[in-house]
Amino acid sequence: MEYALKLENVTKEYKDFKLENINIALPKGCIMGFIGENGAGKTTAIKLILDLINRDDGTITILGKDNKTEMNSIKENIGVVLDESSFPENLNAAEINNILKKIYKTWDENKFFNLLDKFSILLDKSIKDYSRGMKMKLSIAVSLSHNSKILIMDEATSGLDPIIREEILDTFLEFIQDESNSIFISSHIISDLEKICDYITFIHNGKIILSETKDDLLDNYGILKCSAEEFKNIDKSIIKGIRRNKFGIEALILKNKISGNYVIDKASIEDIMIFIIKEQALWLDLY
Amino acid sequence: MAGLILKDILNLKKQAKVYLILVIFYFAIGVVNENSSMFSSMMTMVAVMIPITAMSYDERSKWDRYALTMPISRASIVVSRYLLGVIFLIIAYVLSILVNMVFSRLYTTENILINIASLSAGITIMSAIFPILFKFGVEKGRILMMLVLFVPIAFVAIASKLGISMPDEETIKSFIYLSPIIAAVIFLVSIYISLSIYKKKEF
Repeated sequence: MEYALKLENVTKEYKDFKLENINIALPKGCIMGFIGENGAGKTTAIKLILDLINRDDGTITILGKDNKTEMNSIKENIGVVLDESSFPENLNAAEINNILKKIYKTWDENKFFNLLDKFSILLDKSIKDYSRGMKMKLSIAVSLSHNSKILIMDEATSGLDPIIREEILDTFLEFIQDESNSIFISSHIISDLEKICDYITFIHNGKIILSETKDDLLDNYGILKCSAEEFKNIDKSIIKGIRRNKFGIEALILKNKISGNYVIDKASIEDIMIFIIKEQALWLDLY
Repeated sequence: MAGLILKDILNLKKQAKVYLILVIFYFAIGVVNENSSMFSSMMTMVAVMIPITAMSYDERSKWDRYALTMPISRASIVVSRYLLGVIFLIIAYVLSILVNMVFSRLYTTENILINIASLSAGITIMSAIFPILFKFGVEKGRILMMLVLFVPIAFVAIASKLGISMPDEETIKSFIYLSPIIAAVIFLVSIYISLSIYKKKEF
């Protein structure tokens, strides 16, 4: 299989935080959602991918090229949206077009103007008067207006209202119509990712907890609802997380491995993430 | 590179009026006093301030890390900064010469020497400050930058207080004629240092 993005055993250590042995593989033509709490390491991982910070160990390839030695040959093909708009505040969209025309060889002016029109962004408005949503839309328009084959986005939809998010997600789905295109998107708004992603990668405390296709996740996990008595009889190895309430127990389980007659609800990606984080916190408390 | 310079100029255009007023103000002072040295040194200071202002804008909007995801190398970000400074220093130098020539009574050896000295001083100051700004950023580097600027001045002041005699006029003159070469060497060393700082920088 050809991969648009591949991280192998990537490690980066800070004084108070460590990204450990990160392995991520995004096949070409797919969308991968990169989820985790604030501070889990999403932004650090994205900075490593973009070679904005140095890794301590491991390899990263984007579109089959090493992101340190061969980065310059693929920058035209990478569209990036960072968590905040990064254009100098005194500029407007028309000026940004003139600047980027000189920076990207493959810059597509018409496409840029069409996207701005679609996002209803005025050409002569200074960026300092933009709302957060407009800044994000501008960044997204830029990321799509050159010969991008992969979009790498950090929290591109956070802090935006549902209508704008919907618009942006539609734009992504349009981009992915071309099967050689891929998207890697981090977010803590999981409902957005659940709508569009093929793969979900979940990072917690600097470690990858799971990285699977969304369908596998939704097929394999379920939420078991039972009383404390019933719970005693269940094989503990299939339980991935527990929540107790006054009516009994809710547990995240591998639902295909349970035998017997139990009430099992569907688990959303958000449920899976929350159960697993809580479970880890529980283990930390025990030790 | 051209894109980066264009970005700085477009981003600074709001301040163009302020710079224009400064130019006119010191120009008037120069004409009234029949001495362009003030004009020349102030223009140099303005020219050095322009790339620093551009850097502080970029820092505020976190432009650099975004630019590095575009087809722009770390080296061209560094070099474009120096280029911006040099462009404006040359403009300042040409303006000073023009002022001297148009008002021919200002066209004295002394004024011409001051023009050359200003250009060299501008390049030297820029060269001293830039590596600090690349290392620490404009916000954090500001105090260190002031230090770099004021230590030599303080040194001269203390030296004269202590009765250490200043070199005679001829020595100063020949030093000024040599100063562009010295400045050029310092400039190249400074670019080299900034490049190696910026290559390792994390965002």
